[in-house]
Amino acid sequence: MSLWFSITLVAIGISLLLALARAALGPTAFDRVLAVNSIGTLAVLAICVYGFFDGRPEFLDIALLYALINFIGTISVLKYFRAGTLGDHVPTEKQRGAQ
Amino acid sequence: MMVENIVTVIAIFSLGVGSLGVLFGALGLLRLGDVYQRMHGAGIIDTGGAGLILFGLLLASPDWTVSVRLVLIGLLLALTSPTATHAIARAAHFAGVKPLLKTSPDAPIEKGADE
Amino acid sequence: MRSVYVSTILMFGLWLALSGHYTPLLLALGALSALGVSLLAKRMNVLDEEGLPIGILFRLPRVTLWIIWEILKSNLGVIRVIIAPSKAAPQLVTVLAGQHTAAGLVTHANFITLTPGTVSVQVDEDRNEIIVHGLTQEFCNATKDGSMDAKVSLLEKRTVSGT
Repeated sequence: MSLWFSITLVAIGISLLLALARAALGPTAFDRVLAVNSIGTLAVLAICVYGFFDGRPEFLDIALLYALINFIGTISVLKYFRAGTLGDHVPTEKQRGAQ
Repeated sequence: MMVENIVTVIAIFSLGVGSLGVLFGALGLLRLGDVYQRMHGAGIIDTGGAGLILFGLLLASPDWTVSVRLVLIGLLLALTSPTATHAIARAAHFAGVKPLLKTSPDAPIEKGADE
Repeated sequence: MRSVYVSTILMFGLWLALSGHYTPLLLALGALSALGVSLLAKRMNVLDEEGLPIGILFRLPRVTLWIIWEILKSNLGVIRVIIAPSKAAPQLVTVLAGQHTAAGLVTHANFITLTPGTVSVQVDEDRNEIIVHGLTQEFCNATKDGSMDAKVSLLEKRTVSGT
């Protein structure tokens, strides 16, 4: 079984590199956000599989947290793109046009 | 003994297919034409790849506390990943990134129609 | 107040499943924190029927099995396009949503995004329309034929009658 876990880990690692290439290539900012989001999902999977590979399922707690933070991170980066702020204050249409 | 073997085989099969799915998804992320198309590649990673790998791990899990965590991670990914993808698509659309279209769309979208 | 009790019990159940430590002191602390979180949620007004749709839980399994099958099918379709990117014929289509509540519309849009090959780009709440980016013509047709709309409406109806 351990062999299969390591094969899965290698596959996830290669996918991580491919996604990293897309994050580096761009061309738009949204490509990069998409790639970073995918890297987050892949990292969650990698943490899970590594926990099984190493026989330490406590890693799953970390994966759970990582999945939560990955989502919040993506949303907040997009909100920052859109509104230019992370707080409650959302600039009105006029202010945004003036930027 | 027999049942255990079958479960192990299904787990290995699921892990293998999930790995392939993740690889193809990442390949799609790299190969497809524009942001909107690449989202479909990312979709494979989030649904098919992640789902099958987590299912394989679920079958291989040693006790029930581990299974509970795996199911929670799966639920969380299933709820959050489409929301994140939609947020990216919407943000790209409002930022004025035009999708490459093959034929004439039957719904030409006006930019910023709902604002 | 009923919703506070229900959510406390659900959260304590989650705590029990995740904790793994079952001494009296820790159990009491877990129950206390579940109650505290529920009271906070009540104070934030996120504990309405939309935040805690109990009725939906009983109708969910059938739709879940259906969506898993759809996801597996469309995964294969997208992989076919990734192998030969020239096959990609991206389209923007408008899908009419038959849902009447915001939660139903969001569920529909999420289901569309959840199946690879289609991504909901924009949701128009006033006109009940979802603008969908599909990778090929087949994916668009599969989204537009109304089967997904019917499944989501099934889920939604149970939610409304559950109030």
